[in-house]
Amino acid sequence: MDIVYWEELGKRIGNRRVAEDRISYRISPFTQWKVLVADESSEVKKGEVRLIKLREVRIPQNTIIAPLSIMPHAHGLTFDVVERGLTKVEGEKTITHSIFLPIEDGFVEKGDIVGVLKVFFVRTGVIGKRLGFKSSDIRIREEMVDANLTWKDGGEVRRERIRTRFFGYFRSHVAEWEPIIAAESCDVEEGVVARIKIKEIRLPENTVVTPLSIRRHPLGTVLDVIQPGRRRKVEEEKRITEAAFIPTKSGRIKRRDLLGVINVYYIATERFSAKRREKEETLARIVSEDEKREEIRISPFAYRRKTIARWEMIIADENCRVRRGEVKEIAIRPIKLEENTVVYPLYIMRNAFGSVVDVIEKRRSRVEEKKEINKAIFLPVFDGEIKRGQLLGVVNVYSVEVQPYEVIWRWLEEWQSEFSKIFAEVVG
Amino acid sequence: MRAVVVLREEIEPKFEAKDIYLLILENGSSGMPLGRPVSERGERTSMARDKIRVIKRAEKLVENLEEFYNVFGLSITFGHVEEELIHAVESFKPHILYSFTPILITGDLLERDVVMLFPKRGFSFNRVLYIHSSSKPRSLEWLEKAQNVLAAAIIQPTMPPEASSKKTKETFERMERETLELAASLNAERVVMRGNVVEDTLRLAKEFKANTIAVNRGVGRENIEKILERADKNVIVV
Repeated sequence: MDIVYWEELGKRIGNRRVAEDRISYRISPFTQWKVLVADESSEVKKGEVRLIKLREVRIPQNTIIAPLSIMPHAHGLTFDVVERGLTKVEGEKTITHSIFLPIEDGFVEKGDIVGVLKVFFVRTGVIGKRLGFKSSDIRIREEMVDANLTWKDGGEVRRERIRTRFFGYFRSHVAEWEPIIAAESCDVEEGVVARIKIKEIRLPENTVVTPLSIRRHPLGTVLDVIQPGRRRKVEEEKRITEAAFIPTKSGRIKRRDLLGVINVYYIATERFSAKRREKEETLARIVSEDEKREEIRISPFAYRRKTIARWEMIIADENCRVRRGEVKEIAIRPIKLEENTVVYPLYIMRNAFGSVVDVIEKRRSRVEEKKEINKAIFLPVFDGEIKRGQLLGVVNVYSVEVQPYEVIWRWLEEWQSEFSKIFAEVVG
Repeated sequence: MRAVVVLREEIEPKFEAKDIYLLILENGSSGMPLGRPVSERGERTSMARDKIRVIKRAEKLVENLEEFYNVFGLSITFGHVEEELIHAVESFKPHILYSFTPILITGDLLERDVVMLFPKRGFSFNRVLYIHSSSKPRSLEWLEKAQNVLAAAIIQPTMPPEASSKKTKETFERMERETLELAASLNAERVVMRGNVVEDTLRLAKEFKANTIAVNRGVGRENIEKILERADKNVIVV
């Protein structure tokens, strides 16, 4: 496959031919955050993808990154980042730009927080992934960042100067799914990001969310979710009321359509306590490729993610032209996934012209079933020519154990009890 | 003034700086499975035990220092100290690096544009012995703080002067000239030109009752390490 990348961003393209490889890795239960702060002011226009220069962020060796979901800026979201040069997971990375998608017109000011990255520590290699992490594998680096938190309040943009300090969090690997269901009917236009009201989702304390990849609606995909008002901490309860939806086709979204799904992961920053909550079946309408709607009942499920995962390369299987900001479905070499797997894009722009924001499966399937992915939803950041055999992106593939929802409390109680003991032992 | 501060334990906030970046050196806890096959649960609990301990310790260290300085960031390291030092120096661009615990001096670190201070006896610059070498000092600011200076260019000939190459002779002459100029500008009490770098530095420091030994980085990594190991005075590498 060919890797096409920027030797010098926006100026000089490099090309490297590498052997296609399937690499697996082990992911650590400890994760750090890095705050992305704009290093320039810029006017942004709804739907016009923009590179925003960041205060450089250095990410330690042996890490992968992903954005912390829930729209981070009053006017939009960072859906990927750009690094200096081309580095491997095993190397230190310097993040220089945010790829920012405005969901409305406005200004990003120098010093605004435009995103937050989750930094996952990993061990790669056949031997490395089998062995436990050593203390020295986890390099905790923290910068206390002075930056502006922005949000909308009654149509007005609010900015508050804050000093961030996050050492990181512990992951339980225990999660549940929340369906994203349209609460309004609206027309969407191909390539124009839409802010769609959804049936309110209440997220418990100590959770982080991330959209479940593989497109769920034939008109497009959910890039992020939006909470009303000031951003709440992960330790607090949160309400999600809107979704940022990127349509790959024009059409009409109808109330009760299933737009997507979010993964809700339980984490701990300090002492963890899980508050039991009841969950019931949800009614939604699944929309097929020919836009036929089928009423379904979505039962709540819990799942646990395994700590060994792998990467699958997303390689173009057609030649096509792409234009900045014009989202495109691109045929890719099929990726076959076994039962009980979930996928997420590996962040950091992997193709010089843009990023894969989601993937499409050949036939609709459940997490518990085998899947074949044959298309990528590609959001271009530059005009360019994609050629067959070019790397478009990478997906992380995780195995999961899916169980009826009630099991989540047993898993979380076990975790809580482990944590309480450790806290008592270490902190007193 | 921006400073990178390397520490293992709590320190007295008596050093000169405004903005600081901490590099906290840690030992891995015995609970961590050192690269052995391990169950997910075992890994989760040992990781939590290990990280909670160091994070709590780091929070306390930061809280104590925040009363006196702007703490801009920190690294907690269980190894890879040299890499983390370079990371801190490159990303924070400090004027000075204070090391309150022994660290390995690497060639890479010596090449960076930062003064390094290893405090052993407070921060007195009352009497300073300065050892010049073939490099230009990164900063004279610290030497200028001294009330009394003894400047020494301790040239350690490996061969009799008549057998030295033209280039070596020229270097020696330049060092002597620079030392005399520096001694004049710093109002040095005394100037010494020849001797053994490590032994005579330690001897002169004792004779001169120096509080601080200032070493030009050009004396080399090995000599600096030996001086650091044996001196009971503050050492500053300029």
